[in-house]
Amino acid sequence: MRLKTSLLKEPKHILSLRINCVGWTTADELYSCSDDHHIMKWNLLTSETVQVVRLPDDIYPIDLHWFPRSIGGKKQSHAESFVLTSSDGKFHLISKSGRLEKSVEAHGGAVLAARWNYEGTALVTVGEDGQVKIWSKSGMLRSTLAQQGTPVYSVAWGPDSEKVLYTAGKQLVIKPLQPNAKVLQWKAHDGLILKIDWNSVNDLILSAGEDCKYKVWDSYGRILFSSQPHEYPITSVAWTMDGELFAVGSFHTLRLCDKTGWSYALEKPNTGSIFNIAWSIDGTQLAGACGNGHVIFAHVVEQRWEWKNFEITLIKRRTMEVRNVINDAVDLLEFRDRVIKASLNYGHLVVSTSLQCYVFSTKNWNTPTIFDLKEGTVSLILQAERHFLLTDGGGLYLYSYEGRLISSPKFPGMRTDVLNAQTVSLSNDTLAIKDKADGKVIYIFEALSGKPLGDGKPLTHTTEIVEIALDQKGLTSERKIVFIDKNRDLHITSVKRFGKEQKIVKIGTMVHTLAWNDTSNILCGIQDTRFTVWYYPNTVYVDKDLLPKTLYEKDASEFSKNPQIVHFVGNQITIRRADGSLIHLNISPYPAILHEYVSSSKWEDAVRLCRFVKDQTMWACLAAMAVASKDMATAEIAYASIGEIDKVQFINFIKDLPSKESRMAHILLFSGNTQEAETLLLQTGLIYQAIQVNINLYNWDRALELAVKHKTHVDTVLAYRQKFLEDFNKKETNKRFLQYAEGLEVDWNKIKAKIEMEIAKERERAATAATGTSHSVVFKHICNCKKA
Amino acid sequence: MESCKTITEPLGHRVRKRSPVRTSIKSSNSHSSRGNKGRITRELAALCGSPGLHKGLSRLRVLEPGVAEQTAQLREECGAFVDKVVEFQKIVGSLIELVDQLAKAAESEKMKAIGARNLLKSIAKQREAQEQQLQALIAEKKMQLERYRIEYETLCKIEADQHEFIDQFIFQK
Repeated sequence: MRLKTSLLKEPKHILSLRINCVGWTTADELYSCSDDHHIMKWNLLTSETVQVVRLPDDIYPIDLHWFPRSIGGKKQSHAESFVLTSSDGKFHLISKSGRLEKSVEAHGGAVLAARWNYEGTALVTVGEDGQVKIWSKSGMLRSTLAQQGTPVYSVAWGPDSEKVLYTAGKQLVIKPLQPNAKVLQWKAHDGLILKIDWNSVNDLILSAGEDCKYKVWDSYGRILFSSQPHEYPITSVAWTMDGELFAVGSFHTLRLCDKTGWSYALEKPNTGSIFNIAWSIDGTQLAGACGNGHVIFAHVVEQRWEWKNFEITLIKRRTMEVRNVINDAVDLLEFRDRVIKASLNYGHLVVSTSLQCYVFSTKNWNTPTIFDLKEGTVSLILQAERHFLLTDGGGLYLYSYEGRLISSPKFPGMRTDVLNAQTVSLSNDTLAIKDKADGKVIYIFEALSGKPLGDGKPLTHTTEIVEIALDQKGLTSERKIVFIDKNRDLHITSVKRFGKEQKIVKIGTMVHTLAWNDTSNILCGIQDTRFTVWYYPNTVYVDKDLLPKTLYEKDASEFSKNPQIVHFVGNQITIRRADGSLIHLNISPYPAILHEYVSSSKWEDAVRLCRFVKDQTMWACLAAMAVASKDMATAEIAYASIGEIDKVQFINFIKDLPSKESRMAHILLFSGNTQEAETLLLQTGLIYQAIQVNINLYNWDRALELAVKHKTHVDTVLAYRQKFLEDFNKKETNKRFLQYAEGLEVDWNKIKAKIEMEIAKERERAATAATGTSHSVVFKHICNCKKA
Repeated sequence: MESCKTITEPLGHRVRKRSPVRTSIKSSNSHSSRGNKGRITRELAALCGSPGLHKGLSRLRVLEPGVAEQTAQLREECGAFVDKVVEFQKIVGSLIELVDQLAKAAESEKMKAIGARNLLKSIAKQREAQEQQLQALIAEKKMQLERYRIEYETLCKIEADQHEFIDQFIFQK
């Protein structure tokens, strides 16, 4: 990826007077202000430059910021006014046509920066007098947020508009608007900090200073990246809207960087210092205010997309080159407008231009499906096997690869401009979106209807969630979602819930990044310093103890700090290191084959495969898969192969059980679902067995409660309890047991006879009602369990 | 210069010729005037050839003919002198102009020289800056190359892995 820059031969502003600020109105229109008091409008489509207005001679503009485009639900196609600060301590609200609507006396000394918040409800200004002031939309002073001895050079709003970040010499300060809230302050640079920016999508902070470095921080003030020192102080930094890229400006220098800090490209244009950089809304072009009176324009080209054997490069603004690596065939794709976003996955290329969306199949590059977009700027394209998701300023739209609109999910308080690939996840049947307002909540939708899934209640976690991902394969009823929370713990849970309390299971710690495989439900991630592949994450719902045996782990120290997983396609994983280099990794192809066999119930083939591979991990996966599918014969073989004798024994014990219901209940017990097992037994009328299950688990209170409730086997419970106490040399302290034990004589012979009778009864019942009611009950229960 | 010489030489000649005449006037007026009268009449007599007319003509004169002649000569000489001076002034003026032009040319050449010298100095600096820029670009390319190298290495490793896998697979079969 690189920047293609263009500079006019003759500057439109008076030469040698520096340009101070630039700002985009639409994707192709820019305003610039200079010390020559002119405000110029640049139209990139017609390449016209006109003077909007000449400011009074005493106004020397310093900073410019356009009023945000959309406020709440109300959409405006373009910005209508902007705020301009000047060296005489005032800020001016100026309309698009250049009319000076209001001038407000704001600071002593120059007003160095002004920023609207994302909703456009408040304005923050900072000045040479060291004050940070908050203003209403109409320019009335709300509060003086902070006051310090040194000038404040730059300011930025936090993503939720509740915090303000500003510079204090060499330090950065994050101050919440609420009084008495904790202020975060840290030393960020060795020199004066000149420029800062805070992205609303990825919540990362950029800072640049006179120590000739630029740095990337998270919102807690932890450093993520620090650049090498440059030759000259860094005078400007700016994020793109989607937070994937940022630009850095310095003397004769323009740099394009990834959000993790490494640099894609460096340009050395003849500009003088670039004092201000503004990205267009679609994030494809930028403008820089140059010290020598020029305005530099640059657009991003040579983005690359890779999938299997295809390599696609955006060679010009409107042209893509597709290279098939296998036969070196090259196709050129021409578009009518500028390409804004593209995505290549699942055998399809989706390209959005400013007006249309093109869908290509990798099988045929000549006939794309084309449809018009409602609003131009697509901010995210997310693909699943059967459909893809587009987001723009207005909403989320799910399209099929034939270009048919499938659904358009909505939830209250939805903000589509802050969504990115970490906060939205799409699978063939489900769409999950992390809520921006409450970071603990994930909204889950049925993809095909666009309606909230199940009872409509969103999934809620105890701490804030950072990243979410849905698995791609398997049955809809077994859809799983994994997410990383603020503490970097990895959790898995089922997407479908039926009133029951959702079970969120932690399967990893210190996970930086993760990805699901595209063809089977294999998960990979980087845990602390280990690269981990969860061959069968569902194991946690079957046999939690088995999980460590189904993992593949590898030392990840070679990936250096903070690597990111880019793809997990087939058995190849692509990881991007912090320095920007891509690393490709291969994992064993066998687990994917195993997944395939199991999903089509080819148990014998699966066992044969495991015997061929002779790998403990494979056997462990097979064991878990077999138990999940209740195929106890295979499970027995698999458990035997990994030496889990106790489990083999239990499986054998289950096999010998007299009735189907009991067997089912004990399989549930095997997976640790005691509650469900008990419910199943009670539903089918096997009261004694339910009591016995509780006795075996030393769950005395529940056993007694059941016995008393159903007026049977109270003496059995008491007898076992007594035996237990005698074995451990303890005395009865439980009041209820004391109460019931008073009038009862324990007679082991009688109890044994009673148990024998119960078992005989069960056997008899199973024989007579092989296909009766109990069968359907069991069946129903299995379904329930599966769904849960 | 050649023309100047030719003009000044006869002028000096005449001054030299005239000066003994002047001294003779100053030394004794009566004597010299008588002497002069005698010479003029002699000359006139020689001119006319009749001594009577000669006398009568001399009698009409207000000024002594010798003086008049000298005056006329002086006037003539003065006129010539003034002409010469004007000419001289013109010549000197053109000379001054020429010198001025030369000075101007010299000045501009000097400025040019100073400019060139400064430019030379700044070019060294410019080259340095250019070099710095190119170095930065080279460093950037090097980094990109390093990224590609790492990627290539991992791909090689994958290739090796896959070969091994295939070999093993065939062997096991």
